[in-house]
Amino acid sequence: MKRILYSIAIAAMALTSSSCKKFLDPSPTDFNAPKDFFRNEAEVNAALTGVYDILGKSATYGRYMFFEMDVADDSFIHLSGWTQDLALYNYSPSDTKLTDNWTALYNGINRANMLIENIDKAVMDENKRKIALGEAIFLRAYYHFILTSNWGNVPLKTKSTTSGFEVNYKNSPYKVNYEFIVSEMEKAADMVAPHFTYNYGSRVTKSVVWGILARVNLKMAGAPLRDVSRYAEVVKWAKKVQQAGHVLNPDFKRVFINMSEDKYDTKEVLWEVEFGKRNGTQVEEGAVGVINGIGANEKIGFSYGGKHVTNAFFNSFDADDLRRDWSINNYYYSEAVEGGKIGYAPNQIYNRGDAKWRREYETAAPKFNGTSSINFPILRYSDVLLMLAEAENEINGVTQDAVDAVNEVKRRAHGKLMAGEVVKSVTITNGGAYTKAPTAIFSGGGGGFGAAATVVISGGKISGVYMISGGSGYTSAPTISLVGGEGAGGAVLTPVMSQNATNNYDLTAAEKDSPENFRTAIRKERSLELCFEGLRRFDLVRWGQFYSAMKAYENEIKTTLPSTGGYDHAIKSARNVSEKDTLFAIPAAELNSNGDIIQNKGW
Amino acid sequence: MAAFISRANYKLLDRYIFTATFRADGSSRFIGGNKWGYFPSAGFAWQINNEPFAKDIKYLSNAKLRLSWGKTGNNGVPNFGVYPSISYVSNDPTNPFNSNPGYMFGNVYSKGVVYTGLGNPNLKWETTDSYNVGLDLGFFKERLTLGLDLYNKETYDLLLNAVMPPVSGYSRAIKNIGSTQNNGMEITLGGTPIQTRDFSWNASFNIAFNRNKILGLSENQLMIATAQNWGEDWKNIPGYVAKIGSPIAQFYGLIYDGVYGYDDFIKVGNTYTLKENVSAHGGARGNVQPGDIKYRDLDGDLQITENDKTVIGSPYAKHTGGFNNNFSYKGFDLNVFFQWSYGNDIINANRIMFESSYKYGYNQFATYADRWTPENTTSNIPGVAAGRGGSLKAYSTRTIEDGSFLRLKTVALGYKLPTELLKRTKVIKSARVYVSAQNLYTWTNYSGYDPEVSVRNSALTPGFDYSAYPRARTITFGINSTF
Repeated sequence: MKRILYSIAIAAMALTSSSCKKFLDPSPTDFNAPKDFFRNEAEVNAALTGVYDILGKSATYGRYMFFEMDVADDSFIHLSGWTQDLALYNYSPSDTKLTDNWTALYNGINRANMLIENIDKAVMDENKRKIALGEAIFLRAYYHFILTSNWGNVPLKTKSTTSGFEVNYKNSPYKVNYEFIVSEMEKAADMVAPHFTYNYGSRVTKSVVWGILARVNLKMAGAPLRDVSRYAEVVKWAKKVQQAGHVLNPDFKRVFINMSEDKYDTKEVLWEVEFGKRNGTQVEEGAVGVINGIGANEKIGFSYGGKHVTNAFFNSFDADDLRRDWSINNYYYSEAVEGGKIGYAPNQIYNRGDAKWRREYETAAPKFNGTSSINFPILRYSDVLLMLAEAENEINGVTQDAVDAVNEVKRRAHGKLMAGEVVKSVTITNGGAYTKAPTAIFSGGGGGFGAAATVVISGGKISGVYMISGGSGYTSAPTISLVGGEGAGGAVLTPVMSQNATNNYDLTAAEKDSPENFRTAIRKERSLELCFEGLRRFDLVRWGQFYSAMKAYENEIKTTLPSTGGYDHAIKSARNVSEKDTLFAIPAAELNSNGDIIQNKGW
Repeated sequence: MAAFISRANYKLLDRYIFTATFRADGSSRFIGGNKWGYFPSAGFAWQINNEPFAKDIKYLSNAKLRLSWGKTGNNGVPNFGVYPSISYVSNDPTNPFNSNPGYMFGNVYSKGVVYTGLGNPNLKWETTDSYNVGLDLGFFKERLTLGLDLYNKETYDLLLNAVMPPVSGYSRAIKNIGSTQNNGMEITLGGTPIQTRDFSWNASFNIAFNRNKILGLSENQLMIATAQNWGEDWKNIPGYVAKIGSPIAQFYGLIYDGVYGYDDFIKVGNTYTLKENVSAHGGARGNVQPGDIKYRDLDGDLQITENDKTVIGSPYAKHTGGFNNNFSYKGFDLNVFFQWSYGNDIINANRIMFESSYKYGYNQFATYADRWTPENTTSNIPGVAAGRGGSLKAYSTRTIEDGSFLRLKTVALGYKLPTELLKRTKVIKSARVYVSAQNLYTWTNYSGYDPEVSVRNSALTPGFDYSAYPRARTITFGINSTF
């Protein structure tokens, strides 16, 4: 039996074949493709801005790189609720902050690679192209530098990613990485603009490249590479900065107040990361002065005050060092008193902390709670001077060039470059009789102003005068008058002035009598000058001292911890440090998706 | 999209049925030679009870054997995902570093661009090959029916927005990656056990078994680990692993071994030091204290690391099914429907947060009152790990629970008002009143609200419970009427 084929149905929903091709070929309308981008100067600048953008992330200089990733022996994390964190050295490779820093840096490297590969397509002025290319080449090398000094054998990424199938990246030995970094930066040095082309400090300029080259070479000469031939390079690059017209700001605290007031001192601060406000919103995720700084409410500018110091570091400053009471606050905020500040007693050291950046000086409004517009310094001129001295000493011992460089930093630190004197302390010549403490007012003293102190009574008379600020510019001792308070009065307080004009704060003979002593003096000077700027851990690691310094710090905290309590958490980081913490762990997110990478030893 | 489709049917001798279909689909989401996907299929059915030898079997009312094979396609990717992209803005939550790519120079804002997509010019259709064998049987004029289906589906060129390593500078890339297989069996049994003039009961029961497996991944990967981002600090801790030869999603973590007791320590004064042969729990040895959570040290190195993690559960059920009943008596109708799932596990992340004190300043479940303390040393719930909570930030068998359940899903009772009664109103033609309830009762051992939970569900991350809304029990009353 046969049946005719039952039914054949053809349903066609298509147009003719030629319009079919175009029908299925729409072009995207809400984004560009790389092949259609990089046409002109504006687009090159946009791509370059994208490369700089990575510097301002919370995961980099917005916070982690000076807070969680710079935990060393000059301070502790004063956030008692933390139990497990990158900053406490008890983290696991899946830690979010660790992963974010790594990811952000490689994001930046890819952005730099894209610009470097495509910049020649643009129709633009050749000079400007050279400068933009130089900045991109430098930033790519700089991001590799942060990765290599923190993680060691990290993958070297010199080409942009072009396909989703590129998932295997091998570790690259740090020796190879450092050689790449140095050669790229030297190339960039010839391409970028001279430093004083700009009146702000966030661009990569020749001085920036030379200064960072000095830092990179100094790291290569130290652990783990220990290539001592590099010291000569350090001196070479540092001297180029020295000869470019850079000068230290006579007033140490002004360097940091500028960063809060959106002012620039490009002679001292060679390279800073900019955080700001635009249309009332925060640009870049800066927490400078928010996570560190002096604990404050939102009226002053909210701050956690998260980084505090201990006795050994505080006492390593000599009594005339003006850096001490700026880098570390000697007062806290209180709305209960006139002036809003109360000075700390001499035995209250753990209460004090990283105060280089103070939101009370922040000018850009509104002041947000989680972020600030305070800039962060990556490279300062004093750092360059100390690098010059350190390297010079390693090659030639105690030379005049090296001594002069260190003395320049010390003199500025002790106010020798400023006019007038400061109030160093106040002696209680007569305690008087008081049942309630009066307020001290400083007046007169020639052209000086700004001194302030808290008066404290005990046993019916004045027992302590705690400095809040030494003021500046005093040509003679000011008079202290006491107002308010309750009691018979009759107290006499005598200010003790600094003797900056006459005293000599240069290196002592003992510090100069051998390269070993000089080396110790320079290392100490670095800790006093550059504390809390994201460099202490870096320095300790390259001197091969990180583990021993942290264990010594643990012992110090055990002995100096205040018995009144409230600071038991200070010891966490130092106690948790083990030998493997000289390097960070490669993030688990990388290990899980990259077929060729190997974890660092000990993790 | 554009598509061509053609189909041919042929029936031979009233009992052999052949079908063949061919379709070609073109999608603008793919480019070049990959635009078009071709999907043929074919089927054959044999009406056995029409065969001469079966025609006389009185009680057999239906017997049909079905065989089929077909290809289907999937192009579920973003419209322009094939093209690499640069943009001035990005809202991609998987790459937070791409948001706000501007910077300030001298307090002047400058716009920046970021690279939001890698593109993939070789992207093509995902295809599934399905094979099916079925048998339908009916007895006693369809008073009793039995259906049996066996299937095997292989999907290859899976479209996945796959995770990229951070060194690449991208968080995700769309790729055709790997192949999976789903096979299983479904049995349906239906019938009308009671049929009288006034009362009838019709029931149907079905059960399904499904197994899935990964056949291959790409780039020499042996496994994909995926995390559930239910908290900032968990986004880098994978709770799922997909390995070749194993199901698409398996729970991944540590094996929970109770808590440390006093006999794991040597006491010196007031300090407890962990004994030499006892493993630490992921943190420094010196930090382990009695009452802390204990995990099994699989590789014997006396420390808990990534190497001690293993497959700790499966989100897939061994079988699922339903049981539906319809009763009618005079004007009443009653529907009772049960559904079940057996053998599926759930990660109860609520208990990680609220029954372990791992996070500072959070309230805890009432069950936590029974935790380990020096006065309550027989408890297996980890004690308050003041300052040492880091060891609790891991998935372990402690918080994996059996999500098997039997649920009385629907009960619906209705009454059709008799027409003689309604005729008297002269307006209403017909009316039925009813009350129905959903999710009346669930029998389960799962301690969370709903064993059918799957928060932020994806093929790679099923069976996760964190802060999900419970399933509502609803009761509805109603009237259907026509006028």
